[in-house]
Amino acid sequence: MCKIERPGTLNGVRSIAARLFALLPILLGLSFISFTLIAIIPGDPVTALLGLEADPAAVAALRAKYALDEPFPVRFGAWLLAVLGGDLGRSIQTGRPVLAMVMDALGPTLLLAAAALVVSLLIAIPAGVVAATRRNTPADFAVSIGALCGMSLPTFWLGILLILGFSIWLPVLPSSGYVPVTQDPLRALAHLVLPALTLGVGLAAATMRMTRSTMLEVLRADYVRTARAKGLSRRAVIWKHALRNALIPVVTLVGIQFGQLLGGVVVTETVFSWPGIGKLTVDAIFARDFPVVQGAILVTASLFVLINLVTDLLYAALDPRLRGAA
Amino acid sequence: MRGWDARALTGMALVAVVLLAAALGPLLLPHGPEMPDFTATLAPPSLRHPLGTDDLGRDVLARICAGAQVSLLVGVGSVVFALLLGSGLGLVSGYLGGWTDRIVMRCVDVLLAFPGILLALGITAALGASLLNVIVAIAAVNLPVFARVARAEALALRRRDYVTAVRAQGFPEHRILLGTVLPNASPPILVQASLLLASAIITESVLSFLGLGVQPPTPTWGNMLRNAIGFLGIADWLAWFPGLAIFVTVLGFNLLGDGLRDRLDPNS
Amino acid sequence: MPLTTTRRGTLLLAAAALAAPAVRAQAPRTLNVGVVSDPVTLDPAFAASFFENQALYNVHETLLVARPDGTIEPGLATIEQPDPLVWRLTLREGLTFHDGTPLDAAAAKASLDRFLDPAVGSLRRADFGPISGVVVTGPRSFELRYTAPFAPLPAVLTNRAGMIVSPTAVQALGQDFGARAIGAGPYRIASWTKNAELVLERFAGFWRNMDGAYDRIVIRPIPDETVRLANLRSGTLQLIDGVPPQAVAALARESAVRVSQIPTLGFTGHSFNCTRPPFNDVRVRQAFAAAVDRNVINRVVYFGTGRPGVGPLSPAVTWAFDPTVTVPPADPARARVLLREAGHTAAVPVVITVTNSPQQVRIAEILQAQANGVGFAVTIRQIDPTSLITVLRQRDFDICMSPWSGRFDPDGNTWVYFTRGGPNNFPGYDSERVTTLLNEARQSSDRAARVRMYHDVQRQLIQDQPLLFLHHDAILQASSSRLTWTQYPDTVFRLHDARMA
Repeated sequence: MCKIERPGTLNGVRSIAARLFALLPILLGLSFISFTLIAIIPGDPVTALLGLEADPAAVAALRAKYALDEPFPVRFGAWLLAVLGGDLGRSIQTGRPVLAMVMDALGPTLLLAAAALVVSLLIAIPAGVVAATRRNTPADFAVSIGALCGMSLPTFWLGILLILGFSIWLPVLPSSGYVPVTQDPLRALAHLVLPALTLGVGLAAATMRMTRSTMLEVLRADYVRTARAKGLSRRAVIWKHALRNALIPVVTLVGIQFGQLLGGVVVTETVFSWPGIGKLTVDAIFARDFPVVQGAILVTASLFVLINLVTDLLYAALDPRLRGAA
Repeated sequence: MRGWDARALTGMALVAVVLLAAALGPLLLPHGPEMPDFTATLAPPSLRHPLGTDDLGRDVLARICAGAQVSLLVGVGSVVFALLLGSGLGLVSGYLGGWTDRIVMRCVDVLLAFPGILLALGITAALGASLLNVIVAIAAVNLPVFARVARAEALALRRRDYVTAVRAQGFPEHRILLGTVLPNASPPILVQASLLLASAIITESVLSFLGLGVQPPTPTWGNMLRNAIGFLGIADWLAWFPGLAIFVTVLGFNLLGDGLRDRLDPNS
Repeated sequence: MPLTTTRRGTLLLAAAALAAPAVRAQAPRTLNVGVVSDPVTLDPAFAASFFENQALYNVHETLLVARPDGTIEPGLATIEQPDPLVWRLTLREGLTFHDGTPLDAAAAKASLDRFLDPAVGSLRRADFGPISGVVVTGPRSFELRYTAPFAPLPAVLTNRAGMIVSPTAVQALGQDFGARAIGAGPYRIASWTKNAELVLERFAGFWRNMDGAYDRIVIRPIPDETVRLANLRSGTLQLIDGVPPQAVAALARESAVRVSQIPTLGFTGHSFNCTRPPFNDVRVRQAFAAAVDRNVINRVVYFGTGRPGVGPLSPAVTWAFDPTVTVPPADPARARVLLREAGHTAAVPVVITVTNSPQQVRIAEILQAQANGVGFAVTIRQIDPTSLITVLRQRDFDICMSPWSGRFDPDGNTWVYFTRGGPNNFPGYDSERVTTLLNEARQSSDRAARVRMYHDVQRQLIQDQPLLFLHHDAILQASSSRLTWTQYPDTVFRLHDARMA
């Protein structure tokens, strides 16, 4: 549980600044860990790149170019300095600037994450509301079981089954690849369906439970009884008052999940060949493309902690309203 | 079994089935999990091979049972590891407070900010793919969670009356930690453990699926699925059964965890 | 005068006739191709990955071209050999690069010098053999001068080493040349979204007649073979590379797609480490080879496609292939005898090193089962592909996979592997006789003599077993059944003649 502070005052601004500042050592530690891990991993990006037919002189030249034989602290220090100047280096595999590669990959990932969130909310919110309002009935039971099953389903297995069902048995949807929305919206949507479903179902499961429990709390709250006493119909109470207030913690949960999604897309992107940041990172790890791994992890983690921070602040900002209403 | 609801009981039953399969399967089944039979490759389920055979003619049922051994070992091993180290760290850190607490929690925050699956990937790639390294990798990912939970409990308990009372009586700090704080902090930690066990099994299968888990020919559910992808549309049973196995096992542990939570820590 | 029916009909017909070409000229016809991986670079000087060829050979053109059966024809230039140490090339008239720079002898020399310059560090340098230099002898003619005869040169010039790139573009783009390469091939780069698609558009200045050719080619990297196949079936792609062998039977029954098979120029095999026990003893190598049933591998791993192989000469190199060599059946009894002769009474521990590709693992598991049956104790070690070359070069293996994609000239499939000190001599094989034969063969211009020498080399290799040859894969590619295109035994898509019926 996070401590609740009240922003909006000088105190609040200072605390936001302090929180942002506190992120820096975390990002530093993160980069250090990933740099160390990659450095230990056996396997050589240059010989991987140049292949079985490489000239040993060419290999040596490329290794020198990327300073791969320098001692570890020197390499880390050099990378750090470059990052502070805004330069994430160049990929060993493609020679392209890492920042450009990461930015290119971020778009598809954010699209997939957003679509998965939409899918999950479309499933979870009605389900949670139904479960809460029909507490301890078979419907509630079904939602609970559904949520547990959704949480127990391995994402990549669901992806494989969806491909089996909708691309092989019934060839209606494409099983991989990505089409930019700007290019062809209809085909982009077709490519988005299966991966978004795969990712969204697992999310829905967790969101369903949270919606249900907060709806339960809210329905018990005083203001609801007051509204009922005033003669408002049950439906009006649910949709106008209870749901709106129950959505607040759900929204913050969504915020938290969005951050976690950045790590969770890894598997889905791999199964569906979705050119996002998860796939970029995994492929770079397998190719030992150090600069790309470093850059991708830095950007992913920065986004993740930033979103967490925003979520914390959002929760704090909205909280007084909740307390006031009860 | 009073006090356990239907969910928890179902969970226990599922887990028991998996445990039995892991323990007895390789002993009782006629076909070994690593016995190839090149004359019976890609055979659909039949009386002889209830779950069919794979691309090298190996019995899928036997391999699923052998895979259960790996999944359970990894799940339990990594969670126990993470629990002991993480909770220990968290309890001590929360209890002592001050600079120790701040530094330890910073480190924990760093680990938590790392996307879990990528950290596990990185560690297995760095150390090499083997059973032990997978356990270490998943333990490293889950350690911070236990540290956080334990620390929160320690912080809360530190100020409780009965702890102050015990301290006033002159007991040394480490006795207080072990004798008073730990037992009271246990319930949320144990609940966390059962839930993380489920996720550890999924993480192991993801690592195997990506090619970094326990290596063939040792069967794991994840590497069986990895192999199955090449035969979608030709031998679909290869994709169904390992996935079902993961699903059933994880569901069992999740149900169990829920039941534990309701029983041990009804306030959460 | 009111229009009679006939006149109205004629007018309508005329209008339709006028409209038709306009309709035809509307949307560019696009060929969607699915390949295994995204090219890393489109600069032929540094292209290393086997899979980059699919894009490379459409963006760049080679000095000479090879037909599927191996005959070499003029490409950008014709070739003649006035002297054993000199090869003279004469470029066609009026050639230009995609950026309009004229492709003349000076440009060709600049391009070749770039390959040969040690400072540039091009991967193509070693392909040229004992070359001393490139000399311009006229506006469209130049010579490659050698210090020793080098028979494989024409075949080499049909490969990446023969690709001529625009010198002005190399100057202008510098490091970015790999992403925006300018060549003289049938298609130029229109756009490249990494890991998503490479879009090529037709180049009007290509030397071949491109009437009816596709206006655009979109190359999509899809590493997963099942996914590639699904996209072909659904019509999203019209041509794919790398069809999994297990899918061939099912595809043959579908009328909308067609599988094309052709034997590869190369081989699938595993190197024995001949420099340390247990495989420094030729009898142990022969024992292992005797235990292997290649037909099982062909059936279980390749589902009947391709054929078992025992040497480096593939049936695809038609003039060098030796049809008298047969694949022996597995002989476990002989294997056990050989092991006993070599002095092994207990199980011989052996580690087979492979990458984690499912097909390689399958092969390793079959080898394990068969070898364990005769007195070996095999464990399988999986490494990731980026470590393979290091393991091979440092000879950190007992048995390690060493596939070879193959070259049109048998020299390209043998010299690097089996000469003393050859760059790919991973087995550590040292045979005076084979080294001499291979060196002679690459210098001789008498084809019959070369054939005899390569057959001798192959027979010696079968005896000495430095490399466990297993299989000559079939190249499996598939397309929409209405697409006509030419399949090549080096797997490369050369799409200037691809047409949709």
